[in-house]
Amino acid sequence: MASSGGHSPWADPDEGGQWVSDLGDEYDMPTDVDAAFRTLRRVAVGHFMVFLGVVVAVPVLTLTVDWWSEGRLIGGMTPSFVMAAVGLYVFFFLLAIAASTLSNAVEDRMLGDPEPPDGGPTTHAEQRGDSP
Amino acid sequence: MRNGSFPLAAAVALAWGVVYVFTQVLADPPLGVATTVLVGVGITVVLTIGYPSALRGPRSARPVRRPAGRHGGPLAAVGRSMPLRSGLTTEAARRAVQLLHPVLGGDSVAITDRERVLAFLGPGSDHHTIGDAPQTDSSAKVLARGRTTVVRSKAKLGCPHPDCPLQSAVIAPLAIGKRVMGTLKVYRLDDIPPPRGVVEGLAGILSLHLELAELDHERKLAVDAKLNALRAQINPHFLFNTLNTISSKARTDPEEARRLLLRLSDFFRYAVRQDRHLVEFGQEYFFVRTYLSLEQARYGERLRVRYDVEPQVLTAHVPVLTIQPLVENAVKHGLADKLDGGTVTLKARVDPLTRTTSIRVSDDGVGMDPDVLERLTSGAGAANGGVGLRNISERLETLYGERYRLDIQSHYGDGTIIDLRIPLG
Amino acid sequence: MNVASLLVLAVLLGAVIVLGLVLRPRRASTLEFYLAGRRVGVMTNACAICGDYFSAASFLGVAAAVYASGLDGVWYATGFAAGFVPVLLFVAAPLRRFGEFSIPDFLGRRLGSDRVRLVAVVVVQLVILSYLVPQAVGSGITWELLVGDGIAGLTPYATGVVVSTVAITALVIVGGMRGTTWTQAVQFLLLLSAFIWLVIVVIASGFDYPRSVAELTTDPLANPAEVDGQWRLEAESNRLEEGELAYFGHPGGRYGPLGQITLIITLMLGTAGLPHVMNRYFTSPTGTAARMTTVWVLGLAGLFYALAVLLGTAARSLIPGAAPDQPWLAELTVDGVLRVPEHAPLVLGRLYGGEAGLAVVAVGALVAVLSTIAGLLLASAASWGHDVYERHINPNATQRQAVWAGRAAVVVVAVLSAALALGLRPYSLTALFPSIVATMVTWAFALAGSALAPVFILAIWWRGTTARGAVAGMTVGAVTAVGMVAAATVIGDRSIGELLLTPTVIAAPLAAAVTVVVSRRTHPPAELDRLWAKLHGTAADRRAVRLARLTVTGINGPDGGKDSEKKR
Repeated sequence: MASSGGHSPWADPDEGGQWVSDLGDEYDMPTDVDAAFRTLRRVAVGHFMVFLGVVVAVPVLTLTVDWWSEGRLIGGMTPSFVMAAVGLYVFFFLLAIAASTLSNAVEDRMLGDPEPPDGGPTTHAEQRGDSP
Repeated sequence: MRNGSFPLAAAVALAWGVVYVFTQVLADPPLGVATTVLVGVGITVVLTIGYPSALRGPRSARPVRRPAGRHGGPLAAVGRSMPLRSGLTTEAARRAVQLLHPVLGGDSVAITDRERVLAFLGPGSDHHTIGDAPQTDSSAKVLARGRTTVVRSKAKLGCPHPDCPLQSAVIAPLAIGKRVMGTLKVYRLDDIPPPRGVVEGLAGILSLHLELAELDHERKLAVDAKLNALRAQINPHFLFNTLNTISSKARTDPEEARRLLLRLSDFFRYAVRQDRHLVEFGQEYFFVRTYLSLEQARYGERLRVRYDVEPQVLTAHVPVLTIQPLVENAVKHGLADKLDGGTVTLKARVDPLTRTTSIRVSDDGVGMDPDVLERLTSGAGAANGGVGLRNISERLETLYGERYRLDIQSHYGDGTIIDLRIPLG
Repeated sequence: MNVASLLVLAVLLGAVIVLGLVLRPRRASTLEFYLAGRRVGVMTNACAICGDYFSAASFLGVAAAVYASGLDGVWYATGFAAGFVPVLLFVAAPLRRFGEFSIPDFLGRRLGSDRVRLVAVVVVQLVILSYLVPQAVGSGITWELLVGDGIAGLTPYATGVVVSTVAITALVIVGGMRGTTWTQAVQFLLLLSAFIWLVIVVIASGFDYPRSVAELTTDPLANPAEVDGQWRLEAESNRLEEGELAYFGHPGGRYGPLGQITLIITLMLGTAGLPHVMNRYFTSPTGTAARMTTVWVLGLAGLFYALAVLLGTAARSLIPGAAPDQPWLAELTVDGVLRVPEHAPLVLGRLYGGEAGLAVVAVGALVAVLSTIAGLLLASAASWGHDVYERHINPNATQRQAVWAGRAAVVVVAVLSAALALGLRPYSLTALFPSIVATMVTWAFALAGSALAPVFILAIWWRGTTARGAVAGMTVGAVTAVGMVAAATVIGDRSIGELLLTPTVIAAPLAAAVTVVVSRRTHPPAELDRLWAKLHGTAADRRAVRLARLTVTGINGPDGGKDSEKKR
């Protein structure tokens, strides 16, 4: 109680209800959407270039570097076999996590109120937490 | 400024290590030296290009800023909140007394400064009123000597009021260094005085808070004053114009009017509530787009806006209420007078290698005469209805010293470009 | 074939159908029928997408390709998994946010044109059909091995095709998508557990993955071929180096210098245009959820394909040792090498789990086929019922009529694909294209990736895309892809045929270029800002999230809500 003085109005629990009930508040301005779109496109294209580079690098290495298909890594597998059988899937998954978290964070920050009265970001976290 | 090349150097070293392990240690036969070096150089080049690219940026959900002090009991609250952090004021003293009362083991608690009672809680508050001079002799003694005094009888307490129920007290000084700034007084209704150690200890903590407050105060005073000046400057014309726009839309497009009203309240909420000096760019960006969407409602097709924001910038820290005034200048001085309108561009970039955040606000408006430019930078622009660039540059100077740059290029009829470079934080 | 495994099969199929019936929507509204009311958890949806996506081509085909050609066969798996990366980067979230029923509907709305919608319907139906046929072929092959007998005078192969088609058609008609979302997820888990079980028993028996790869690589790769009516092993020639032989762990067993890259790009872009996979995205609650779903799909797909590659290697390494002792295996093999590589996981199942093991793997294969066919048929139903019937044939259709139109379409498409599968004789094609199922699925990917994906991605990420541009792009992409593949069936898969078989690398850029050029000459639809806000804005997401929070607060009571607020 002692610390309740001097707070911003939307922290007031009595006013919270008024904010939550008004679902029509969420609205995106066209310029804001355009800005977020541009940034997201940059993120997507950047990640795609990395993806394409790595995927195409494997066959290209096959054609250019003998060691790639002759050398032995773990036990008896060639580097190219290791990459194709396991490495690339791990890479895809990591790339996916990187791209999706970045895109989500960008959307969070570039659209809507950065500090919504009822704590929007937590819900995003809950949504992600949906999955084990 | 921290050196931004360190993480890159670490990543490159790690990459070379991985390349070495895979091509020379794990592999049989090892890869030839020339090819290994080539692979390593390739990865290094990719890392160096990728380091400042769009692949880096915020990955987490936004940190949710919560008002402090909603949890825990009073003791925890004393430790965590610092009631006197903002100095020895009536409001701070009131909060401190409320916090401390349950912990101190007394019936009444009071805080005074050298001249007056700042707060009094408990029996006796009817005549120990806030704002009066401390009435007891013992207070005067403590203020003079700066040592804790234990009073065991009503007589020694020396309250001039005949019906005063207070019997005993511990009075501890609140001091900054040797200077006694006030007292913390804990009274009891019987003649067993409150525990001296507790009272002294808490008085010590409060003294420390006061000392911090004073240090803070001196350091922040300048910046705060400028921030307040800026808030006060939120342009009455802007408010008037926006309200005008909203009321004219209320009939034609009530939904739009409602949205604008919400945006306007967002705008003021943000401007008024900022108590920090640095915020994430994402929040300033929110403020800027709120502002620009209101201006767009007013100017319609004449005002076009283009944002060019890199993901990495979103979490970079920038001085609060800095970018919006730059944008406002662009709208007001650049485009408002141009018949067919124009485009305001906000471009934000981060260079992790030099650890700089660069923000560029440009418009293709009418541009400025050299003397207008001069007036704006000298601060006289504020009187002109514009927001003084001088205010911003002074605040930047307090925050960053020499490590910032604020460049303005403008040619009459050819638009204006404002370039701001600050250390990445 | 024995009674026990047939019994397991029957019980499982029965369970799948019952699940479909129990979970069928209460009210047959179109939305419910097609999209399961749009509320499906991230993980469930990820599993369901995997169920749709992992067809016979993944379950049998990848292991078969690895079995037949070693390292070069792994590229199927890589390509299938890689396909979801462009989906994640370019498609998932905006597609869900735009919130239409199907790909044709999306393109139609986005570009404001019925012509685009109709052209897209045609392409989508072609993709579905070319995807359905290999699934039917896969189920025919499985039935052949599992049951070995035909019913009512049909050959075993034909029986497999007919039975699977009839069963899954009935399921789709009765269940709709809610049935299939849950069953799809369950079916995927079943598939995955079949693989995991197989991997565990194989490794427990002392299989050493890296060493086997090394051992298999010491001798040249040889596969059975029919020469003058006699089956014997023929060494595969290396396609990278003229006059050399191919080895299991080395490249060159299957692809020439261009082959790998063209295959990868074909599979990579194809996924973004697969209607049955994309339709699943509309069932996510928000765009963010759709994005996270894709991340999980990528994780699950990586796991699944890594296991498939391991099993293909294991089959190659273990079957020759077991063949002399097992009379049933001798019939299937030539000098210890399987004649039909698709049999590899099934044979492993029987070797290590007896009849029951065979049944488990066979059930996995059939389930893979069934779930993919279900997804495809439903996508087909959605595009006929919603995009054609409701919009063009009977605009005043009631919900009931639209659902029935979809169901009728399901029957027609199913019959068509079964007929095509019966017309193909897989043995005759195997000689031309090893691992026929995976190869045929590639054609569906090629069509989807050439005709749909470029237009799709441009429509999402380029404001200037117009209806005419899209129509031109889709037509050019489809015609190029079909033409190149048709040419390849004549030439075979050597040299230039390699490129012709995986035409996306040429057709997709061509389609994109045509789209851009034509779009530049025409005007984009009006109200682009509104479309953009819907496509890339998160307002609807935020509203949905708020509503969900409100509902949760309503259920837990305001105190519960406050507690959670404090915890934050």
